[in-house]
Amino acid sequence: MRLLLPIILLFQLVSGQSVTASVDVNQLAVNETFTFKIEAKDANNMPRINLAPLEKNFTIISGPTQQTSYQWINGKATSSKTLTWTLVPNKKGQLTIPALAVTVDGEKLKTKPIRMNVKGSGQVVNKDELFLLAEIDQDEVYVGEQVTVTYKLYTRVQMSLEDIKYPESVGFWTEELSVPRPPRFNQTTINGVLYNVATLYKVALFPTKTGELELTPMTVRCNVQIPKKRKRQRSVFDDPFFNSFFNETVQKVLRTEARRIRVKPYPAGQPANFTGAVGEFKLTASVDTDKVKTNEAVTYYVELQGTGNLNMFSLPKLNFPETMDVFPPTASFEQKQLWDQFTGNMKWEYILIPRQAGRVFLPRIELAYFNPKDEQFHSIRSRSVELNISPAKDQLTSGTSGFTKEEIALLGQDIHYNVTSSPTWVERGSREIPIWVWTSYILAAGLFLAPVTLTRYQQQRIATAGQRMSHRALKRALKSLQTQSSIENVSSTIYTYLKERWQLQTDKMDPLYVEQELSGIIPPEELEDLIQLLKDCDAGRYAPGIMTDQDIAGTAGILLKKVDSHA
Amino acid sequence: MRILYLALLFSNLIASNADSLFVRGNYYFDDEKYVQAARSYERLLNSVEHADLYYNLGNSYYRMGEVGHAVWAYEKGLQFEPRNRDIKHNLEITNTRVKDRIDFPDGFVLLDWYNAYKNSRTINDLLMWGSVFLLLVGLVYVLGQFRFLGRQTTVKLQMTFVILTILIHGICLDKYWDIAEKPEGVIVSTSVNVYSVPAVRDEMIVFKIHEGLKAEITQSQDNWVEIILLDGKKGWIPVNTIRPLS
Repeated sequence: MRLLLPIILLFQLVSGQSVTASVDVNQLAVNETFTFKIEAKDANNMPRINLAPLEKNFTIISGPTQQTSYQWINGKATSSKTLTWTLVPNKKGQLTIPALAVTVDGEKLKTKPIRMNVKGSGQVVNKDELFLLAEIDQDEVYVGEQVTVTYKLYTRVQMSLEDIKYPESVGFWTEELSVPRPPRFNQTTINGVLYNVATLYKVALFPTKTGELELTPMTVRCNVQIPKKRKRQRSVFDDPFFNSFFNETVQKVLRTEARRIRVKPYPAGQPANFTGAVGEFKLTASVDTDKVKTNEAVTYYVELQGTGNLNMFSLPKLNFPETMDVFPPTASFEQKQLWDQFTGNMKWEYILIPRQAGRVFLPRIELAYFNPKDEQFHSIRSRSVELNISPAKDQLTSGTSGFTKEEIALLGQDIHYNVTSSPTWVERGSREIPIWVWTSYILAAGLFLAPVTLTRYQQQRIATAGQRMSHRALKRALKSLQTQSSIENVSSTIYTYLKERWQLQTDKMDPLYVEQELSGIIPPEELEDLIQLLKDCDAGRYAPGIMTDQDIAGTAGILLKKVDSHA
Repeated sequence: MRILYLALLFSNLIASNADSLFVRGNYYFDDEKYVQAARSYERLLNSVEHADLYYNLGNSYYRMGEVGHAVWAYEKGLQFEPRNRDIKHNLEITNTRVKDRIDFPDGFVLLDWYNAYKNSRTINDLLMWGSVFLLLVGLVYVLGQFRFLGRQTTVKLQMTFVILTILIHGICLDKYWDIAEKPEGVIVSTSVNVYSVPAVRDEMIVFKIHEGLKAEITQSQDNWVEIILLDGKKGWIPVNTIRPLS
């Protein structure tokens, strides 16, 4: 037990935060406001509260307001953080503010439930005397079709507007329509009763999904002047005269009734390029100038005018020619004021810089939309804009990019037609140098060599004339012997032969000289025979008849053949 | 003798086959079946080549809207017949449909003339002129040697022809180097991202090119080639997006 006590104390210290919920009154009438407070003691941060369970029976008019206070009690500092709301009960009867889950500094706590006694509202201000109406122009629409909701305040009593809580309906794209601010009261009669009417708020709602959609009610807080209740029945001042001096100001909350809108899907036949445009539209496209030069900017305007859900869809992507640079468009929207139908003018500005000269068509814009009036899909197109881009002057000469003059002339032309007759085929890869090229080279080389070779040849012939003679000496000698076999001839033939064959450079030829020159070159016995023959010839020349010419010629022939073999 | 005969027969066979394919391609073309026409011509290209074939192929691709392939075919055709007017005309028209336009700043006039001349001749043309001039040099030399021409005239003529010969052969060599060492290609994919590395990485995209653009191929690696554009921009593209001209 002794151990337990400090633990409990410690626990209390840690979980020192406590949360209390409180209201300022718990007896009230419907449409009367009350203040709901949640106070967290010793909290470092503002408590976080989930108010969802509360909203079933109560409506939050304003809040929360935050407040932090410090207090010194008995020398001990306490701090508290308070959140305050202004609430209004939704119905009469015994209502309960349920236990709310509060998170303080990461700790989850719960408040205690509070009972509220809500009386009927009748006696304070009659419902007929002050009410708020939401007027809907149509309660069955297509997706994207406009529903105009007008919130009007009808009053027959003295009142002033305190606070308006504008509705934020889920499932709609909301565009506010203009109403006079501050609200202007007009007089109107309903069933013979005069009312002051003011339009507080007007919106164009565009449903974004199908099904039953509920409009969030609008809540208005106002101060109403009502005569003070007589506390004492018999009073001196119990006189109508005094009543006007003792008016009381009562805060009253007005709410519109919940309204439902049925959203229908589109009928069949939705075009492929339908992007959700509903209404009636007109498309125009234009350029700011028709004198265009390359590298100079042109503005391409696309304008969409009409009535409908103008902000809810996008234009199809434009495919500009690749020969121009396109900058992302700037979009602007101009709403027509004071029109109940959401009407306006959307404008896109594309900056284009053509890079090539020539004729270019800017893309046409096609938009498919649904017209809820005739319940049909329509398609509109802008006219195509033609641009005649002339080349910038400096470009023709410098030619940095784009076409040259010659190329522009080619732009309209077609290619020439095929070759139809079969050519002489060249086998693939045989990229040979033609034969006549080689021939030509060889001929040229020949010409260079010609003079050289000719000179050489001549010199050679001159140089080898003797040799050639010696080679043919025997042949000539034998021929000579055959044709003329006289002794004189035999002798001279032998001498000539010897002279040619051994190139003996002398005029005086006799056997002695021959012996002297040829000894050692031919064998001695042959030399001897030759000398003998020569001597015989000489002898025969001077003493004819010893030997027949035929014999001598024959012997000479055989001998010369023998001798020649040694040369 | 028999081998020669066989070879002759074989080449005849190829020629007749080629003729029929060519005729079929033309037939398809007239029938506006350009895809089939192009296919016929491409098949024909496996075995034979001719400027006219490339020309017809280019026309088919042009009609199909394949600007890249059309440019490729015309360029190939011009390699064979650089002065073919039809090919030049059609290439010019096709080039107007090429998105990327790279223009040089105007260069030195003489250099332009030189390039124009170089591009309008094939190597064989140049070799022919070279050999003719060399032949003339030889002729003048021979005539001079045998005193048919005066000494002064010989020297003058010879100098002229020697200079012309060297010039022509120089151009020829230059052209040969162009072909051998600067392989070119034509972009055939509609639009190609050029990366700074041979890999697909979005942050490495240097620039973007489109079909029909001619580019020099500097190196290749796996399935990538590095290209350099006329204006000096460099980058890597997948090998199947470019069709080499060599």
